Amino acid sequence: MREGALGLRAPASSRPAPKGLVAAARERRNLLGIILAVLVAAVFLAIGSVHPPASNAQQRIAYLESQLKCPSCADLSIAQSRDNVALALDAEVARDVHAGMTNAAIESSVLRRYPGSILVPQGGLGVLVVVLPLAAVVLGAVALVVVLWRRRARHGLPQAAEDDEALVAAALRGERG
Amino acid sequence: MKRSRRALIAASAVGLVVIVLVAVFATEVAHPPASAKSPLLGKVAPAISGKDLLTGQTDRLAALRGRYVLVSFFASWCQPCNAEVPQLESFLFDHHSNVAVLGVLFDDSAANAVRFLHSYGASWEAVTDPATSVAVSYGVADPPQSFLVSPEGQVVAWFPGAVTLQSLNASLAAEIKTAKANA
Repeated sequence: MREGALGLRAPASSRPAPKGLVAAARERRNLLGIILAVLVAAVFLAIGSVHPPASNAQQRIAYLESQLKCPSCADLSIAQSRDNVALALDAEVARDVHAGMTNAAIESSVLRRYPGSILVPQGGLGVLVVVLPLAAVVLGAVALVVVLWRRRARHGLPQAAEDDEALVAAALRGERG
Repeated sequence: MKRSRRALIAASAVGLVVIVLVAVFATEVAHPPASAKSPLLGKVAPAISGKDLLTGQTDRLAALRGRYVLVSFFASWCQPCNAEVPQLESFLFDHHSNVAVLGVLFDDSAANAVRFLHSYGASWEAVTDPATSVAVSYGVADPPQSFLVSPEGQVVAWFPGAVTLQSLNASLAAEIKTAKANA
């Protein structure tokens, strides 16, 4: 007699599971894998967007110059602009970094004189720049879960194979007998 | 049932979008109006030292301590700067005993600036700022901008855009009154 999915005749470890259950388990694994991948990607994105990637002086200068907006230009960082004010701020940032000032102190020093000179604005539409990607990731993950959940529900529980049904019937007969 | 659930989801989505938009526009930082305060107000004026455009000597803001000093960032190519020069002349003429004007050239050649100052008969000290470092220390991105510095060296008024004799007189009178009240 062949072994069934309900485990009536043989230890679970030695029985091959029916196709339906195998598919369901694989689907669950896939779903968990996708959710895990999305979470890991979200965590790395969050870390990458919050922490400056640089630690040595040149990298810090490059990072700060990419973050500070040229006050006399339209939507250019001071690294991108060749305007005199941008060049003066470039020099100031380099001087401050070499003087041992922290990134926050340098940004704050520039912001005091040029309010709103951080490329990612602190409020209003600038919030969208931060919120939208995060919202997209979260909504995407939720949508994925919902779609996979629904697909699973639509297919329903796996149908028992004829062999399994026969096994159950035999077992029931044995109990009664 | 399904249709009502879809309607509920659609309504929720629209509601969410509305909430997000309201939050976005409610937190939008308005651009500072012309009357906004400079972050330098009340602080010690950053040092100014540069080559005088007309005499070639070194001029320093610190050397003008004891008088009110109007630090004026200007350029020959800037139209409002052209408009404000006669106002500055009048202001200096009216208060020559206790006021000085110190011009700082912004993003312009010395030759153009000298022609500009000569054409108006400007009599005040004006220095070059070849590295734009003085302008940056005052947070200037575009001329004209002026700062009134007290005899003690503090920034007491800021004029974004072209000054007028009226606004200069009003600021100076208010500052003198405040200084007398505090004395």
